[in-house]
Amino acid sequence: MTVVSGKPKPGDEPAAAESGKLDSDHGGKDTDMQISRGNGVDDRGQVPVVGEDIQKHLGRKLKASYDELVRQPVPDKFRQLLEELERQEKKL
Amino acid sequence: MNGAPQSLRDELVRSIPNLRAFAMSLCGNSARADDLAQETLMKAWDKLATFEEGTNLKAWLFTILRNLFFSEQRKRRREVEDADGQLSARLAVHPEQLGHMDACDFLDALLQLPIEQREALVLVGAEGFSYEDVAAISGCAVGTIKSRVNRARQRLTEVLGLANASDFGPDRMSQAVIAHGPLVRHK
Repeated sequence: MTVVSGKPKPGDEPAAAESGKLDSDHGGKDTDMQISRGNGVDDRGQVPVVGEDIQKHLGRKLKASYDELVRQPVPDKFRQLLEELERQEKKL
Repeated sequence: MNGAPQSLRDELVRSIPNLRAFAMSLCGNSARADDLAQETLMKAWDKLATFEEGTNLKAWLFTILRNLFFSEQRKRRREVEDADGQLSARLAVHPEQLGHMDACDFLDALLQLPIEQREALVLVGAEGFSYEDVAAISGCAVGTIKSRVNRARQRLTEVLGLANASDFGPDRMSQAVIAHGPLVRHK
């Protein structure tokens, strides 16, 4: 699959297409996407690439934090939900 | 999910911890994250029979979850506009239930990123999806994802005070390197 444009494919994400905002990094309402920190970032998204050492450091921190989230015990309500879904299915 | 094979069901169940983690990194609130993960499961369960086996189930589940999240986000935004008569520039998220976690500082920094950047960085850097998969999940171009990941790294570098960005200058990093040796040195 070759995606050549920044727009969502039709039918992929109808809600986003409807608002026309989500996929645009420069959408008027998404003020949090606009970078105006005077750090050399222009509004075309040309960002200086972070140094390799810092990238590795960030990558490890990200992975460690995320893995900690993944390892959190799954609450019992998930088991209950799955049981309920199985029950409903048997009724059909 | 009439007739969906057991293997798919098992994979669905195995994905729950990752769905929760992804939801948590999007919304920063564990109760809301659980709601999102549960809605995702219900939706996936309904549609599992239509899922094309051999394609990426995890990517499919993550797509469902992020679409649920973003449509809820839009709805909230509209409600805020209705209530206040103006757009709240940023719907703040706080990792309020992560106080006990070592990783809290980093997650706190992560949650300061714009949502689209955070999503891209987590999917690529933490879940290990390819840029192509993430582009399909987020419904945008590969180049957009690369740019979001790049910006997310840049922003995190600033937020965490790792220097490199001109806002901070190189001082903190060089001092750290002088004091403790290189932070990262892999060959």
